[in-house]
This record gives sequence, C-alpha cells and structure tokens, in this order.
Amino acid sequence: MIDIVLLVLKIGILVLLYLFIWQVVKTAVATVSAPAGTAAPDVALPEGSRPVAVFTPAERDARREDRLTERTVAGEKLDFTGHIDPRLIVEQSPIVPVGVVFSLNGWVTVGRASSSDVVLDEHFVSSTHARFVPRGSFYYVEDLGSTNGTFVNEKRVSGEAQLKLDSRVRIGETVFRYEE
Amino acid sequence: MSRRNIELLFLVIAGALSTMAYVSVYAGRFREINRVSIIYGLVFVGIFFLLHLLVRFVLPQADPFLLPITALLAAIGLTEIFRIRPSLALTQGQWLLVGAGLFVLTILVVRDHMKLDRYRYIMGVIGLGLLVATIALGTTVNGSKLWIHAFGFSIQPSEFAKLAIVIFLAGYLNDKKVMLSVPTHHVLGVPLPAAKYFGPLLVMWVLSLAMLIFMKDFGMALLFMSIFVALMYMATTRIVYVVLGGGLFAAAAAIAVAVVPHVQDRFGTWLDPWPHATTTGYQLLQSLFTIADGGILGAGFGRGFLLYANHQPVVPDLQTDFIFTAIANEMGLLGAAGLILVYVLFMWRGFRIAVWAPDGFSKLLAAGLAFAFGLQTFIILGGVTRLIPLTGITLPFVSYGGSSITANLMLVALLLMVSHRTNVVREGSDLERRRLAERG
Repeated sequence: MIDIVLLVLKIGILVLLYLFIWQVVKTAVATVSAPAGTAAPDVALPEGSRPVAVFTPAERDARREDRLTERTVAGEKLDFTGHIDPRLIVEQSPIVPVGVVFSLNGWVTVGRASSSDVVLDEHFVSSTHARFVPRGSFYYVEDLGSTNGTFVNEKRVSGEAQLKLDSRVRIGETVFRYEE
Repeated sequence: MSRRNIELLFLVIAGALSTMAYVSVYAGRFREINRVSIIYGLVFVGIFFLLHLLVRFVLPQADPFLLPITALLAAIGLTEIFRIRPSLALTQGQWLLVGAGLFVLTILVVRDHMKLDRYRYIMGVIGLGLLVATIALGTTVNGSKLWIHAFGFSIQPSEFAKLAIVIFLAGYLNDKKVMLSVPTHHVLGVPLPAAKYFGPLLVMWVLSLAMLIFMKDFGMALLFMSIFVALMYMATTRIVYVVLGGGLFAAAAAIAVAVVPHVQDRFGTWLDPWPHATTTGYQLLQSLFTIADGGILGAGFGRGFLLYANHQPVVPDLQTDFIFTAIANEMGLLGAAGLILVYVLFMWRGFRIAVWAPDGFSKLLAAGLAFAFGLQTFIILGGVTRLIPLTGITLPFVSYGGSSITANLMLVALLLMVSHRTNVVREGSDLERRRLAERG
C-alpha cells in the first residue's frame, strides 16, 4: 500500500514540477505584452497653471536683438553695433539642446562647475574647462588646463586660439559654432 | 488576474509540491503518513504566505514569479536536507525564518533600491571588508577558507559580500560607464580608458586573485571576477573587457594551479578522477555514481540510496555542496533537469527585470544580481557533474547553509524592489490609479 502511495507521490512531484515551470512560462509570456500597450496616464496640470512659453532659438535671437537695438523716434531700428554680436550656437551636444545660443559678453567661462557661465555637466568636461575672452575686436578661447582639451576646428588649443566666423569650438562632446 | 494573485496561485503550487515531497520522505522512512508531515507543508507555505502579504502591500507591482520560484527551490532543498539529516533540517528551517526576517527588513528599510546608489562606496567598502575579514579571520574547512566563526555561528561572509559588491559595481559603473567605454590610450594595441577610471577595477581583479591564493577557493574567485567582468561588459558594451578579464583570470587560475596545492588537487581530480578514486577523487566519483543511480525518474523522495547503514551519507558534504547529487538521485534525470529549468526561470525573470528597468543603475543592479545567482548555480552544478573543476559553493536556496539562504533571500528582495519600481514607472502606480478612481 505505502509503496503505491510513494510511487504516486514520485510521479506526482515530477508532474507538479513541470506543471509549475510550464505555467510560469505561459503566464509570464501572456502578461508580457499586456502592460506594454497601456500608456502611463497623463499628468494633469493643476488648474490655472500655464506651460512656460518656449521660443525657438531664432525667435529668441530676434527678441534679444529687438531689445538691444535702439530705435529712432519714428520707430526705425538704429544699429550701432557694427554687427558685432559675438555668440556661440550649440551645433551638437548630448546635454544642451541643439540651436541654443549663448551670447558672449566679456569673459565667459565654460565648465562642469555650477559657477561657470556656461555649465556643461558631462563627463569629459573639466570643472573649469575654458573661457572666452574678448581682446580688441576679436574673441579668443583659452583652455584652462582641462583634462580632455578644447578644440577649435578639431585642433587642440594649447593656450589660446583666436575665433573666426564659423569656427567650431568643441568642449567635451559639445560643439559650438562661433558667430558675430 | 493581478500580479499578486498570480504569485499566490504559484505559491500554492509550490506549497503542494513541498508537502508531497515531505510526505514522501516521511513515508519512505517511517512507512506511514500522518498529520506531522502535512503540518510541515502548511508551516512552510505559511512563511512564504507572510512574505507574499508583505510584497502585496509594499511592492504590489513587483514580478509575481520570483517569490514562488524561491519557495519551490527552498522547499526542494529543505525536504532533501530533512531526508539526509533530519536534525539539520530543523536548523535550516530556522535559517529560513532568519532569511525571511532579513527579506522583510531589507524591503522595509530600503523600500526603494535607488537609495542604495547613494551608498555605493559604503557598499563597496562593506563588500571588500567582508572578503578581507574572511581572508584574515577565516577558518579553513575542506581546504578552503570561507568561514568565520563568531558567537557560536559560522558565517560565510562571501555570500553577503556578493550582494554588496554587485550594488557597488552597479552604482560605480553606471556613473563611469561613459569614461570606461571610450579608450584614451593604447597598451600593446589594446584600447584602454584612462587609468584613474580603470583603477578600482584592477583592485577587484587583485582581490579575486587574492581570494584564489589565500582563501584557496576557485569558485568564489571565479564568481567575483565574473560578476565584475559581466557588469563591465553590460555597462560599456565593450567586448575588450570580457577578453581582458577572461585572460587575466585564466592567468590567475594558471598561477593558482601551479602554486596552491589545494587548487592543484581539485584541478587534477577534475581532469582525471580515477587515479585518485579513494582519496581526492572519492567525493566526485561517488557523486557521479549517485547521480547515475537515479535513472530517468529517480528513486523517489526518501527512497534513494543516499545513506550507509551507519547514517553516513554516500557522498561527503551531501547536504551542502552535493545536494544536487542527492536530488538527481531521488528525482531522476527528469527532476534534476526540472530543477535546472527552475533556476533558468529565476535568471529569466531577473534579466527581464533588468531589460525593462528604466535607468542604468537599476538595470545593472538587476542584471548583476541575476548573473551572480545564475553563475553561482552553474559553478556548483558544473562542479558536481564534473563539467568544471569542483569548488565548494552553495546551490542557492537548496544547499544547507544559513548564510546562503539568507543572502539569497535578500537578493530576491532587491530584485523585487527593482521590478516594482520599473512597473510603477512604466505603467503608473496602481495605488495612485485606485486613489484617482475612488475620487471619481
């Protein structure tokens, strides 16, 4: 009698073991596709709050220029700057959106430190990496002893390099185009 | 069916299986079936039911299969230990309770595994400290220095160090993966990243080499080195680390085989056990005979030839390192293959969690834990079946050993936390949704 029970148990355990395995696979595969289709519910904004206006870089440029230029009494634009509006435009970057414009005014420091004028929080940027310095009517970029270097048109800057129109400045993985 | 109900259902199957196995062992020994054997099953199910309740309330969206898989493995292990040495089964049962307690504690204290990322260096220090402590204070058992005796317990710190090191590596590599994946210079034509990012990883290599030489334990050294290489590869996707790591470990192993007599013995026995059949090869050969003796369907729980008349097991260390041998004997080829499939299920769930995880740290953590679990299983199963050199390492959840079951239950707790957070991020929180529905 007991031997029959033991035989039944032996077979039963094996059957149950494989049933368990089969059911886990079956249930898991069946539930895999289900949650992927259901999107996360949209976050409801509290009433009265409006999203902040977002400008394209071109719009922002236009607004800024508008603010900076002086006008005659008749409202015509007067341009005293001689078109010198040095600025850096982000061409490619893992962190800064492409097209963002940094206008250069006096000394501008770039680095990972939050005290920099242009903060680039990425791995290959040193905390104080480089600075842009006006000298006469030209802008220069100075490498401040960074680990991974500053590149102007893919040439590593030793000390400093003068920027010309459309020079590409690469710091870490971010590339800026210089315009004036 | 909700995740937690699926979990409960599978726990019931695991519980039924454990009760049947226990009844079988009991009936095999005492030729009778009584209430004790059924109560045993209920107590076992009860422990896991409490864990299930905790998960239901704290991590409701966690993976539903991990806990039942764990329960099934623990059930098979506990039953087989009871079969081999009933007094040890009681101790193991107590360890299971301790492990369940630590499982609860881990979940309640940590709650969100992302917190652990902030403690990564502390985890690294804990992991290293445990290993160094083992090298310094450990006692040698079976030729390997893996144990620390303290307060009347013997603890195997490497099991816990495994968790700490995976947490550290996941945090560290997630932070530094960009640097590590871009080579800045070449050594002998091999592109390498800057030394300062590479340094801590060399420390890991030296550590595993030290483990090999001072702890004389090939298995643990292989486990730690592989965890580290696998995580490096997963973080950077650069195969050069696998090649380098494999090469370095092979070199270390070659040195160890040449220098450390214990490792040399194990290696020689693995290549050809027959000349040492009565000495160093005895254990391995007995294991092979015992596995073969099980046949296709096995002898049945409690009915295999595992003990001599004087109650000595036919294979030394049957309840710890060689538990798989005992299971293969009593459950046969089918049962042993089924057991391996259950381990595969566990790894599948672990990697699934890693693939779905929304951030780098979670991915590396889950993948690292699943990998460590799977590799440990492979090392010991390979060892007892003579696929790779035999090393004393526990079969997770099944082998007799408090440190092992405790640490692995904590591993499950971590995986559950990662999977809960993943599902909350992917599908929104069930709790939040229910609250919104109640509000109308």
